[in-house]
Order: sequence, then C-alpha cells, then structure tokens
Amino acid sequence: MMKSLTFAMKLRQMSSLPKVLMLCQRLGGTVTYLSAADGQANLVLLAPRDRAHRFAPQLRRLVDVTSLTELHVLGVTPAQTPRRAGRRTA
Amino acid sequence: MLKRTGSKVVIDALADAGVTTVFGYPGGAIMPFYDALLDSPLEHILVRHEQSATHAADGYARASGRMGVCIATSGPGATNLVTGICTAAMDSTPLLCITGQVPTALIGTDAFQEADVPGLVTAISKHYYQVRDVDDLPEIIAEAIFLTTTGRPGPVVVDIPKDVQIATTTRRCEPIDHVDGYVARPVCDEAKVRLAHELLKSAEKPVCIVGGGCKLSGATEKFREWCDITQMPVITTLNGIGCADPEYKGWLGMPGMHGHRRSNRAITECDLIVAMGIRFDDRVTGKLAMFAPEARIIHIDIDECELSKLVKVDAALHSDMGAALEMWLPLFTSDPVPDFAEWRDEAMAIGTGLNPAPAPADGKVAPTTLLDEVMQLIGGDAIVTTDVGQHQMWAAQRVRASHPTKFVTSGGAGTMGFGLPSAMGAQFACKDQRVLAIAGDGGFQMTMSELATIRRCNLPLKILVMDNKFLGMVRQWQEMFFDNRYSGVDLSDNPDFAALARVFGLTAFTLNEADRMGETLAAWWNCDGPALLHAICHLEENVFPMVPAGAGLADMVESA
Repeated sequence: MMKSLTFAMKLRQMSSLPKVLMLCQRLGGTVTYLSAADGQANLVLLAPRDRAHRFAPQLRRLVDVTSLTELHVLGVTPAQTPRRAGRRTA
Repeated sequence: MLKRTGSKVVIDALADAGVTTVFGYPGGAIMPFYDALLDSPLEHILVRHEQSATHAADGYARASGRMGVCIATSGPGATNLVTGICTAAMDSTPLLCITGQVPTALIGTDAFQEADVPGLVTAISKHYYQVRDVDDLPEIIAEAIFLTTTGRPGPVVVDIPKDVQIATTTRRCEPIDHVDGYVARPVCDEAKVRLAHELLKSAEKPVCIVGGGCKLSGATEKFREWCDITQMPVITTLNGIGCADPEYKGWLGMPGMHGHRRSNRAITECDLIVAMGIRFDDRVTGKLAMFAPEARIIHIDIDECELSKLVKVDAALHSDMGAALEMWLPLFTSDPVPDFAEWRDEAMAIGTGLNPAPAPADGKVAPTTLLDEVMQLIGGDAIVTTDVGQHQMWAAQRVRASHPTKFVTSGGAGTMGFGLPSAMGAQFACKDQRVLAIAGDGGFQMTMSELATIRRCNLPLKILVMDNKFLGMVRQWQEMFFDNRYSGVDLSDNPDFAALARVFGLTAFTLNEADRMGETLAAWWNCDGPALLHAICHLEENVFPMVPAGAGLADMVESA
C-alpha cells in the first residue's frame, strides 16, 4: 500500500536537490512530481504506507532544507472525482 | 586588511575552535595546506592510511568529547576516508574532514587524482561543502565546525581545491551560532516532560534504556542523578556503556543480540520503557513485533527522525537529553514516583547469562576468561577501544567503564579496523590516561600499519590481539545458521603478531597457554611504552547469550 505525500520546501541551494531525491529513494519512495526554482521545491512522492512517517523528519534533517511543509489533501472536489476514476481504469 | 591564504584561514579557525591535534596524510592537492601546517600550533599526526586518520580522529572525539579532525588529499585520499566518515555518521561523532581537491579549473575534467567528493559523501555525511571561492571559506569553515559539533553531531566534509588553499582573502572567520532552518539544541516543552512523568508514575515495571545520545549531550551526571532518584533498572546500549555508574544497583547491562540475559528479559517483561538517546537499532530490538510487547514507551532524542521511526512511542520528547532531564528532575521532588526497588532487584536477580567458559582441552586461552582477567586488571578508568566482531561483544559484555568516554567502539557501522587507530586517537586526546586497544586477528590486520605511527609517537597504549585464526563472528554464524559450512573465514596462517610488533619497534608478548595468563597480562599491562599482546585463543568459542537474527529478545540462546 502506497501513500501520496506532498512537500513544499525551501532550499539553501538548488544543488542540494539530488540529496533530497536520493533520500526519498533510500526511504523507498517514488518521486512522481518535482518542480523547483529560486530555492523552492515542490515534491510529490509515493511512499510505502508503513514508512511514510519517516519522510518529513528525514527531509527536515538535511541542513540544506531550511523549511519543510507537508501538504495534506483535505478533500476532493466533485469536479475532480470522475477524472481520477477515469485514470484508475485507464 | 590582513590577507590570509585559504589554508591559513582553515588552520586559524581550527586553532580558535580549540583543536590541538589533527590526523592526516598528505598528497598533491593538499600540499598548500600542509605547508601552512608547518607554521601552525596544530600537532599533525601522520598516519599510514587515510582510513586510519578518520578512525583516529573519531577515537579522539569519542574519548574527549571534542571535535576530531582529519585531513586527506584528493582522489584516493578522499575515497579512503569514506569508511571512516560512514562510521562517524552511524555513531554521531563530531568529525571534521578536510580534503584537498584539484584546482577549480580542473574539476570535472577527470584530472589526475580527481574524485567527486560531494558525490561520494552525500549519503554518509551530515553535511559537505566544496569551496569554489576563497572569500567563502571563512564562513564555510565556521559553519562546518558549528554543524559537526551541535545538534546530533556527525561528520562534515570540506573539500578545498588547491587554488583556493593558495588564494588569499581579507575576510575574517567568526564563530557562528545559527544556521537558517537548523535547530542546534532542540528542547521539548514542559507538557511532554509532564506526560513522561505521568507515564512513569503509572508504571509498575519500568526499564530505562540509555544510549550514545547521553554522552553526546553531556548528560551523564544528570542521568546518574535520575537513576539514583528513580532506582529503576537501567540498560546501556553498546554506545551507551558507561552512562550508568557500574556500581549502580540496577544496572542490568547491555540489551539485544549479544546482550545480557537480565536486560533482554527485563525488556520483554516491562510495562514501560524510558528510552534516552537511543535509536532502537535492530541489534538492540531483535524482531520488532516481539520487542517489549507489554510496554508503553517514552523516547527522548535530539533527532526528530528517531522518534517513532521503528518503534511507535507513547511520549516523544524531541529534545537534547540534558535539557529534558533538567526539566524532569525537579518533578520527582514535587510529584514522587512509586518505589521501583523491588522490581529492580527482581530484574537484577535474573543474572547476566555470561557463563564461565569451560577450560579448553588443548590448554589454549579461552577468550572470555582472558577478557574477564583483562577487565579485572585494567579497572574501570582505562579507555578501552575495540575492533568489531566476537571480541567486541565479549568486551562489551564485560567492561565496567566508569564513564561513557571510556568505551570506544564502532557500533552502528560495525567497522573492522577501527580498534587500533581509534585507540591512537584516544591516547592523543587523553595523554595522561591508560588506553587499551582490543582487536581480533581479522580487524587488526586491516589497519595494523598504524603500529608505525604508535612507535614514532611512542604512545604508551597497550594492544591486545585476540587471535582465534578465524573471522570469528562470521564463523559463528556459519556454524549456527549455515550448517557448519565455513566459507572465507580461515585465518589459520596468521603471522606471528608479536614478532611483527617487534619489527615495528614495540614491546611484544605472546600468550598461548592458559596457565601463564596472569603473569603475562601483568608484564604486558605494566611495561613502559607501547606494547602488544598476541593472545592465541581457543579457536571456536562462540558469543553467548545470542538472539538469532530475526528472532525476538525472548528467544535468546544461552549456549550451543
């Protein structure tokens, strides 16, 4: 069982991105989306559910990650529901 | 404005930070730094392999509580540091590594002795820098020192191209006490401490497990005060050995795979664990599902990552351990906890499970008997370093360290070759103390070239090589779990280590008969200068108790 995690982070330097990605891989995550510019990065990954709790503190521990916010999806709008269902069956 | 070279900037920063001794090995890309070292107050110890520089600096740090510093050149010099960096990272040692690098213009060209140092150390260092501009160096070196020594300590690598070492800057290096987004000393709020206190009050059979975080926090005295107040049973992990006073009435010993019987039994039967500065290593917990099945858990740790990482806890105190204890200790006066003395005595009565080894029929030395005698001889105040393997576990089961700085071992990484160079570092850090390096015949041969360094510096440390002609721990596992099929563990053609030590200029002794143990040990331990004892041991003694891999602590095996 996988869990989707979404993080918004600030980086001291963009060159620390590989370290972020390597850590996600080491923890068993699969990065599905990454956007980064001007010291900010947004990251979506699929994490094994039983290990999902390890990602935020380990990312926060990286010295180059100066702030980390985990974004939680609170609900799904009706407009999104059919599109998601369609993808699952594709 | 005063202009200084990059090399001088680094050396001045180290001296200002109180560093007196550095361990290293020169080479082309670090030559400007070595040239500057000649005019510096720093004592440079020339090791015989860069890996030993990291272990020596690591031993220096662990025995003294100060930062260790090692230096290497680019390329193979830097790659030889990797094992030591990983070792330091796994046990949270404050280690600063300075590496030379090819000139900035050549980086990325596959130049002679070029290696991608940031790429190499990304996953095993707390942080790293590659300095491209000498004007950045003062701030970088100050930050590196700050990061390696604060928070959860760890290795920091500063890679300095040769031209940056030569270039000059007018910038000053000011110590720093803040890095954006980095919390150097987390302190939990009082409500968390109150919650922990309430859980302890409601417990009937609590156990404390303390680890290396106690020493790193400088909280040993506070912890011992906490023990004296609570009177509950205390277990010390491999890196926590010495945190509890060895005379404490409730010290159960070590937990886990080769832990003491009473420690593992207490963990299995307790209803509360107070975990301080530990990370629930798999060698400590055994099968997680069977770990402390009845217990609620309080966990104090400076690293948020460790809280509920493997074991779900009921009270997570993200805090420097000393700071947490400072808040906790007064609560015992205003709100006393139950008397745990009866449970403590019950837990102690279960015994260690360290059964005396039967005398080998061939008259050879039983390694456990040897270590019993050695520990008796040296007392609790000598610094003991170990290598990795059977002798490490036998030593950890028997040592009675009076302080956590007195037992130095590679716990997390389990790095063979660590024992001898780390003893060297410990002796440099604590020149007036007795230091003993215990090594097996396998690990000793990985870094034994440091005998030359020990002789040159006339370090008075004593070395015990326990030679059972096998890679003993692997052999034990092959005997127990691979149907006696010994593969790649035969060291039957070992050299005469005493003769070897004499070639290096050390005094050396050989012990191959059990009935000469007492007199040989005394002659070796009491002689002047560096001395090696080659103890030829019974070949196939196993380490017990043992929790087989994948089993729970309750499934401990006590004999073959």
